[in-house]
Amino acid sequence: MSSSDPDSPVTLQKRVWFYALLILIFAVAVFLLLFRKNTPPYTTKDAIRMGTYMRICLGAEKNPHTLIDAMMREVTRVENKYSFHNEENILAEINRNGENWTYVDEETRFILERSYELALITKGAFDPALGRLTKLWGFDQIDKDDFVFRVPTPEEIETALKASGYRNLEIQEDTVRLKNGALLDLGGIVKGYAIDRCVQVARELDPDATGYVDIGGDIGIIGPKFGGADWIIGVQSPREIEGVSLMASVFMKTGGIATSGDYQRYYEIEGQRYHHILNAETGKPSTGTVSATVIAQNSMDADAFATAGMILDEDYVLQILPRLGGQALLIDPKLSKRSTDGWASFEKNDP
Amino acid sequence: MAMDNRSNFFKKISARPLMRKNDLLVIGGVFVLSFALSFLIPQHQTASIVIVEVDGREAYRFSIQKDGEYPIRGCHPVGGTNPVSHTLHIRDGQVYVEDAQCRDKLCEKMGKIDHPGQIIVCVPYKVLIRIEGYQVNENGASPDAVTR
Repeated sequence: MSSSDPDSPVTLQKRVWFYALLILIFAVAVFLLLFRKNTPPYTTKDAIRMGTYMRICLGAEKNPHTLIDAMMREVTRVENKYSFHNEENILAEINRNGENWTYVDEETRFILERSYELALITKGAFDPALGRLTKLWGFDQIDKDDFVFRVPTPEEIETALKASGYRNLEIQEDTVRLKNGALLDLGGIVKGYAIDRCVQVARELDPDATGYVDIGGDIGIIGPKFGGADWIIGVQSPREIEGVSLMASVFMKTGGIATSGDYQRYYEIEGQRYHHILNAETGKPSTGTVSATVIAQNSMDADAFATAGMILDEDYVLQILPRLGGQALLIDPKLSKRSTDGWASFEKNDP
Repeated sequence: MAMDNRSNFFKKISARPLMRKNDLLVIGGVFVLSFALSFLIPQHQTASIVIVEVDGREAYRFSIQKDGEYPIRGCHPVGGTNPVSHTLHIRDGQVYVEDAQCRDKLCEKMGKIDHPGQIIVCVPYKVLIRIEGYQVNENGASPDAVTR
């Protein structure tokens, strides 16, 4: 009955425990490797840009942080170049030169041409030349604590209207000018453009990159989630209601989505709200639709269409946007929803 | 005498094929046990740190598990001294701000955040509050992003 006897109870017990321990270690190792994901497939970067929050969510095989840095630099570049607040950029120069022609580079020409087109096809609801009105209402000062807001008089609005409108923008080969004292304000489109540039930079550096870019609630998709799945994007409810924060959810693998609403930037005087989406015809904040969300092929279009969606008559928006390449969800003051025919397909998850 | 009986007993058992089934049971039990244990092994905590960035740089760091009210000094818009611009509240695993000095108080309206991926932002004071951790959700229940 020695312990070298392979059938002895002591050796058997030892063997059982030995193998049990081995299997335990092996199984734990396997489970830890297979079932616990230690490296996230997506890298996220949050920042404050363009007067709002910005988030990049990027999935890239190599060097996601290098890509994110490049994308952040691009957003900063676009912001500096086209911000209404910067008095030294090309926008300020064009505005200062007024009726004198200003030389512009290809990028600026592209943006102004496309803005003009978008103004035409939205019947002026989106308008890149409402700078006088923006200044009059003070929406360019909205982040400054010491600015005292007041409602402009009808005469002041009338005067500003005479110096507003995309028709005052003239574009030639490589020069542009503004008539009648109009001022360019690209606020309704520059976020969308910055997002498109950001997405482009990511794809140029890594064609297989996936993820999205979110600037202040305008979102551009870099690539489908995990390579083939939808990104789930909620549509913010325009009013605070107990327990309800989203009005809808959409599923997107590509393209851009933007929302314009009366609840984002506004002044409030004596209970009356004055929001920042100005109607180019009345010179005052738009009425009716309280939130317009648009899905389009790129974020620049989505941005402009969303602005137009707030201003144009509901029926007209629902009729014309699909023809322009956009699908929209409109919310009225009673929080009723109406959408274009193609919108519903985005609310379904692809199997 | 007793020893002989016991060793005889074991010998009889080890000779039976039933012992092999027991072996498998033991191995199976070990797998189940190790699977269960792998969940108990503490993962490095992903949702426990609240990070406050001021002007793009980390300025404060808190544990989400420690309830408290903390003064935050944001980037004063006009320059000069840096008064307290917000009070950060952490309670029951939720994070929110109060007493914001900004005009529109959008940061207060952003409500309470409690998991990675959510943020609170005060643009005029350049304050960004986030919860450290992975953001992409895989269960499809809540949105990846919100358009507003």
